[in-house]
Amino acid sequence: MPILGIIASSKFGDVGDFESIATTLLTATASSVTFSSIPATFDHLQIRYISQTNRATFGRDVVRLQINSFAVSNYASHFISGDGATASAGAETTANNVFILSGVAGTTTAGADFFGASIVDILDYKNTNKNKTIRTLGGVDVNGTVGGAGGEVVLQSGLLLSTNAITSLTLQPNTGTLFSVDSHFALYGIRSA
Amino acid sequence: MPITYEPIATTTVGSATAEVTFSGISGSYTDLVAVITGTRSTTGNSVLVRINSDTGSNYSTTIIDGDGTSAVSERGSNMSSGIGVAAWKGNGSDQMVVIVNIMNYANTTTYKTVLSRYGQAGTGTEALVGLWRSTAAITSLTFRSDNVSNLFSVGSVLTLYGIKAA
Repeated sequence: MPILGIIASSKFGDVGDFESIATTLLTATASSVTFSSIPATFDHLQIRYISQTNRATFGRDVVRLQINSFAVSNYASHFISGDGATASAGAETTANNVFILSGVAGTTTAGADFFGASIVDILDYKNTNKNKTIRTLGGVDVNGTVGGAGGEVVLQSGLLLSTNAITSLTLQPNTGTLFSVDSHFALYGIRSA
Repeated sequence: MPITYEPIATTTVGSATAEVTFSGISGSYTDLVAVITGTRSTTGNSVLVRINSDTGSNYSTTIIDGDGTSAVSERGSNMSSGIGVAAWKGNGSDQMVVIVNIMNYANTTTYKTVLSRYGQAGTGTEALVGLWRSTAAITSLTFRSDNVSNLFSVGSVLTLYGIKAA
């Protein structure tokens, strides 16, 4: 069911190798975006999105992904990133990790038109014999620096310590509290032969 | 039956060329994906994408790359030559693979963000994010270099795909 303030659409049942499952275009700010009741008819999932948050001071924000409403202790993430000046690598453990790292957003602080973009692959999402692995390519460029920090390009990996099939995905800003209007999130299913 | 991910156009380079353009791109998709395989005519030439033939200083790029020994990050701001999609680590003789994602290209309310991955086995790998500071819908893409007359060697293949959301 579409959430108030969101143009949402979904279709199930078209046969193809790469299918659109559902799309959310924000027409009002939102604290999170959820894809629920994901069918188990594919082999992999991909989320492709552009987003912006209301984070202050800087031109970039992190986006996080929660799966099936699992608790904090189920997640871990690693990343490499570059901000235009420095290359970095790091990890998050369950101690401080609420959601898996899953991309980058622009911010209203950089300007009204600056949006980040990310592509999130959720592999073998319905397999009940293994933990789940996620990888993300994300980035935002701010044409220089904002608040003394550049944009960011990131490669992230995530681990969900659960053998449950994935049926819902929730994206939310890390530092900002709201996704902006015109943020656009699309979920696709990928099917093998 | 709707097709979600489909080829729009393919160019196979028959004689070395400075640039390849996909024009007349319709607004009927959500994202575009360009896949480039092939070699470059000389070592050290980056591959850029210029959008809608815009020659203004409206492009910028942030890069992270690794060459097997170290990782570095660089940025270019107010560029007029285009967004970098395969940057500084070129080797003229080895095959390169570049996958360029042009996100939400047809919307008229946001600047456009481009995500790229580039690899060349003999030199290194890169991830890049680029920005085109325009809210215009993208209707043409020109893959080019700003410093050579023949960037793409014979046999290089550039394919443009469209991805359509529900």
